[in-house]
Amino acid sequence: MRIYFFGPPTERSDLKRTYDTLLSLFRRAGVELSYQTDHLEIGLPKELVDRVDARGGMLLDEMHALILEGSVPNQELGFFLAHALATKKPTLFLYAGVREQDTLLKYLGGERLPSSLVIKRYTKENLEDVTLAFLRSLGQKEIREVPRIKFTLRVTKTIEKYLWWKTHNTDKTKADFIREKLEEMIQAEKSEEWKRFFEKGEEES
Amino acid sequence: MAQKYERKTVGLLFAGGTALGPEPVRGSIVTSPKVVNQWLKKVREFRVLADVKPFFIYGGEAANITPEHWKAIAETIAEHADRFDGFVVTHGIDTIDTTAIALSFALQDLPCPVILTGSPVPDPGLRLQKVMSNLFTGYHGLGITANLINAVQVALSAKPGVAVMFGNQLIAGTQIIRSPAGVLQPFSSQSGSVLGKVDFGVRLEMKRSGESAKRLKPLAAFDTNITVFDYQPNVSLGPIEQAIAKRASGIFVRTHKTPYFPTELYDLMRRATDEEKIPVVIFSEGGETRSQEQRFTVIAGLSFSAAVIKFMWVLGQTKRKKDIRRLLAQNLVGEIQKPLRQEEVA
Repeated sequence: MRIYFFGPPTERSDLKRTYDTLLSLFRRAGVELSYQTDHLEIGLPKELVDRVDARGGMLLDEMHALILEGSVPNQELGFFLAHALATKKPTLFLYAGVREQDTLLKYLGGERLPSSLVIKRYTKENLEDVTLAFLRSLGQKEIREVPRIKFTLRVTKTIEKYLWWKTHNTDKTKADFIREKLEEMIQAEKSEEWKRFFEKGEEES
Repeated sequence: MAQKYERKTVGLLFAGGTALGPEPVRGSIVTSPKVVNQWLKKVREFRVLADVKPFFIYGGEAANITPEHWKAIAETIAEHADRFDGFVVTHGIDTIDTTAIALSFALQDLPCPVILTGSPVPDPGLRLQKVMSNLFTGYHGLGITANLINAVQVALSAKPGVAVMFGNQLIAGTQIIRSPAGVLQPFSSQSGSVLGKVDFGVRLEMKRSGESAKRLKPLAAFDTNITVFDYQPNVSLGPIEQAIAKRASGIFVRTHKTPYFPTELYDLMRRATDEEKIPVVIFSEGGETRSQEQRFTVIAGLSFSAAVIKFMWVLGQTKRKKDIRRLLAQNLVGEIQKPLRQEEVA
């Protein structure tokens, strides 16, 4: 699933933290990400970019959804919002600390907005939940479960050495490696007992 | 550092090319001033970008646009230039290139951008709708709405000047040409470079800086009483003879190779300039600017359309031979990519 995230260039440390949190979340969720904050990361295959360019199209049209950080009104933000409204592209408009009425959306004069546009006020605490809920609402199977539960694990010196040896020349962290091994074991677990236990847990949550 | 956001205003001039879709639904195409508000309600996305003030100029087919429409557009923009951050002109794409060129000459020293755009979908009910629909089948996904949003965004952020926003390209008004066969996009740039591209956002080669507001005086007179003659060996010279007989304001001779002509044509052109005082311009498509002698003005380095319109514009400004030659030789609004050498101009 292709996601485009836009956060206007900013000097505010709280917004920069928001951008970092979101970019980390998108990567963990396994989406195909293009974004612009202080610079543009196209993040798409060159063949696709060339093909779209040759026919005079916009890369924005190739995105499945847009996520916009709109706490501070910005001309480019208005541009993306206008395209999102025109194309009814699923869009999450996030804002923090300001009332919804003070955002660019007030210029639409209270008219009914399309259901494709989701406007959410966020806090530091619920930012990931709000964003993940939007990503899941898109119904795309590519969204991975995002690891969010902190788990302290004491290991032996040998295990630590082994983890370092397996990951030191890769872009994976030791935690990534352990998570992948566990995911593989879970996928391989075909017993009915596990299936019942897992489904029971899903219902209760 | 993040820019401080200020609510901006755009003047939106309607000169055709407003079809929101291929079907003639009420309010989906601006054919008269009465429909403007209804049409604007269908494209409410603008209000997120900027406050928009509409002006109705023309609502018919692009093929019927004349210099009178160019004048109306130019005068409307000049009258209101100090009130808006930029202007967007909707226009049928059939002749959007010639209007862009004309406005480039008519609106020099602009204090803000003037961006032309239009629907890739031909206006419903057009005589040639079926032909045009087939031509632009590949563009239905773009729609005028996307072009308009891009044009408004450019009008608010680009440097002053006339340009065309279509598809994902922003092309200078004097550089726009029809793309060669086999190229998917309908328009290209004569110089090969564009003023901006749209990928996710709009990327401009040069953004606006804080220009001071200037009083804009439109120079929108075009003399259309010219004869355009496409020289090919052994073709009839009747058009030149007729131009002399009916006292055309000017004769424009297009040559694809070097500007050396057979004696009969040369004699006619000499009679036009020396005896009838009709200016003769030779447009050298091959770029060669040496001439048999200096009595004819030879121009090159610009597109054919830009050359013809420039000639009409120059003749609309002056009838003095010296001024005509001077203005044709000058690179007035970026229309010449390879300016004439001084010794080539008498």
